Amino acid sequence: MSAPASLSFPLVCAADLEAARVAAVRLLAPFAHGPRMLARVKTIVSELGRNVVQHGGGGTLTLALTPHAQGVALRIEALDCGPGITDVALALSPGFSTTRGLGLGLSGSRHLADRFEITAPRGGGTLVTAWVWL
Amino acid sequence: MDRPPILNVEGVLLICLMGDLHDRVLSHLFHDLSSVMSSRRPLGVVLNIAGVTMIDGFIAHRLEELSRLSLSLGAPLVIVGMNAAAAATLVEMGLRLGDIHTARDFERGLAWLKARTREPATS
Repeated sequence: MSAPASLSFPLVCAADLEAARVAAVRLLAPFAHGPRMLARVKTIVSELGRNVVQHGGGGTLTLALTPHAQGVALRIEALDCGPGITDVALALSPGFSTTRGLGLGLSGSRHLADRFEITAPRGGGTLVTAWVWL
Repeated sequence: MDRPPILNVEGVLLICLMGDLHDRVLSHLFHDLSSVMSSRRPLGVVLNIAGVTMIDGFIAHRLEELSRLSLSLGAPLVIVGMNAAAAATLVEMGLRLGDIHTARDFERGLAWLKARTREPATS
């Protein structure tokens, strides 16, 4: 039985991050990556998910396997219900934080990902998308 | 494992964390450690994270808090056994563990603690 191509997780509190991290590891399983890749992906999922819970008033995290030029990518989408990021450059700067943490959530995730985007969907909120080439 | 056990071996507190660290585990550990340290007055604390697969910014912050708590109660804390994957991810993110002392394994961590606690209080 093959893994589903896309999985979504509602994020209300920090405890909800656990299911998303477990699912990310399961999606990676067929690609036989080592602990380095697993740590990288779980950290991105955790940072983006925590950002949704702490700053965005909750939302959804979606994991999807998608094709890209060199093969397959894991796409991690974090959509929140917040008012949006007014200053994207500031939010991406190392050390920026409005809650407890080391202020490296978005900037750290950007460094870990192979591709990274922040957009404002028409329906509101902020959509942060990270791609990792598998 | 919501409440990791805190073992007292010859005056040194030993804590072993495993797997994905959930917020509640670290929160419980902070309160349990402060309680145990107040009652037992240990020489130091060894926090073994060899089984921890991922350290994000929040977890790193909580580890720093544990280190500061321990030091403020008169006993240094050393983190031992961080695996290469977690360490590499921390570096790539630009995270620094601040003033936390780390050692490769339990033996080296314990040796550092013993050397540290033998140092004279004033120099």
